[in-house]
Amino acid sequence: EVVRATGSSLPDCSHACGACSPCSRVMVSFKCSASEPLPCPMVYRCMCRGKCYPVPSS
Amino acid sequence: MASPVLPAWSSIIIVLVALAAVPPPCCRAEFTVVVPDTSSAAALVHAPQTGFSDRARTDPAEQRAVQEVMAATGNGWAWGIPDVCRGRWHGIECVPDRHDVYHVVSLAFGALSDDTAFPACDAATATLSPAVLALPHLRSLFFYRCFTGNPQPIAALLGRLGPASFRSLVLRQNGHVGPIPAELGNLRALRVLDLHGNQLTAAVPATLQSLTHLRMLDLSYNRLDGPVPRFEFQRLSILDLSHNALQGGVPWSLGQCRALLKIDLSQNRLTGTIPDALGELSELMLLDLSHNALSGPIPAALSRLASLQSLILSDNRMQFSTVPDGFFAGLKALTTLVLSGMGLAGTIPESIGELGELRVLRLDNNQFTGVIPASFRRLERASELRVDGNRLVGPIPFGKEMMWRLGKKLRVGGNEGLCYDTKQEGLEGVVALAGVADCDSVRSRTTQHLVWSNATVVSRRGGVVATVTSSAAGPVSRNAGGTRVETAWLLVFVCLHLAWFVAL
Repeated sequence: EVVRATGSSLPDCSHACGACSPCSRVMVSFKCSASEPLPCPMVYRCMCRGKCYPVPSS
Repeated sequence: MASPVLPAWSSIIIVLVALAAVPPPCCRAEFTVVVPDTSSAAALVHAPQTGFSDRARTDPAEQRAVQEVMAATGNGWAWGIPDVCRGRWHGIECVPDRHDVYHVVSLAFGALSDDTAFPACDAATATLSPAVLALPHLRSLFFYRCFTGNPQPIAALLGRLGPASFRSLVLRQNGHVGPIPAELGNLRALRVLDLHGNQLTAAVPATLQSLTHLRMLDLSYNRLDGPVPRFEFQRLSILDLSHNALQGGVPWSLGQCRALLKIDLSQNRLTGTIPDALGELSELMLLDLSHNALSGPIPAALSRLASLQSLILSDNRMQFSTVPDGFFAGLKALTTLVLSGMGLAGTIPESIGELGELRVLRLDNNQFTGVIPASFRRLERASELRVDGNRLVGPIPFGKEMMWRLGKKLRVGGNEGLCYDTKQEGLEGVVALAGVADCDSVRSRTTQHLVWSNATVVSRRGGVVATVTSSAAGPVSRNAGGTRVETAWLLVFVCLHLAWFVAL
């Protein structure tokens, strides 16, 4: 009776930093060589007062 | 498609790296750049998802249950969230039904790492709230290092979670005490049961035998005793019962679990022999039965395990068991072979040298006699090779490149009869040879020269190196009829020679 969901969505960080607020979405880049022709891989994180939290499942 | 966007992004990142020479205090050291996610709208579109609807709301009863479970672990902040499935955090998953009602399917607690932290528990006060039973669609519960300051038994009420839908129960390193509740056998749909690293006691309940869909069973690092139950799980791929106090034998029924990839029963008190039935597990990649009280012999049936990569049988008392020479012919995938401290006798099988994938080979602290097979030169991928603490004789067959490469990971010590060939250049400073005599000096001291030089001659014809060099009257059974007479003569000759030496 539950519907099978597909695809993905941008993470919503509004309640993802536990007791800390405000919690907002940031993009984080991994360290990689500046001479690399490809862009660095990026991930989303939730952030509150300088501390990072993982994003909820989408 | 997005190619014009990406180079632009990379140049922004480079500029930011240059500006922010000191990485921001957030996140871990591998991360260099943190960008507020406002400009990303151009790169990614927040498109509607198939199956999800903006109108969906969480089932009110489940909302309350989640908030109670959260509060019981010390995460009272969840009371302030108007809709838990819309305002999710890392550690809750929801799925909507056709009526736009969200149901909670997964809850997780505990900081695995800074990077993927689920809500942390207040270890001193955390408890499991019975409100989990009000989550009828729950498929997965995960608690890691959660109740450690407040040790509790595993709640029997978990056996009342949805028998048709509940798939995965992970209670890892939570400080749980007492026995595994028999009620867990009611979770008929369970795929994963992981109770690793608690203080669980008593026997594994027989009711777990009804978990026929189980794929992974990890009860390792507890204090469980009693026998290994007779599991016959067609889909089980991981079985880890290591580091307990389990007794009795390795059950034959494991041979019926045809999907097994890993069996780890190490560090228990298992007795009896290794069942031949394990030879049926054609998918098996790891078999670790080390640190038990298993007796020999090593069953020949194990040589059929063509997928096996790691065979670890060390520290079982198999006094004077031998390993048949052809044993390793079928184990083509073997990368790790550990047979240390088993009291194995006879010669080291030549066929080990045919294991082209072998990385780690430990045959140390046994009673192996004879020479190190010349075929060991072919173990070009080996990164660790131990034959120390045996009764091996004769020259070490490895080339100097191999000895230099292995360094300290090559151990040949504790074999009084082993020596190295002085004719080989460049052996000065090879760590493994410290304390090992050179063959010339050994030749001049003893008659072993005669033993192995003759043995080499004979071995070219009949492969009897072992029987000749193991002077302790090893049986001459494996020779072809022709070489038997010759060997008998040789033994007489050796005996006479020894007698002559003693007389001197």
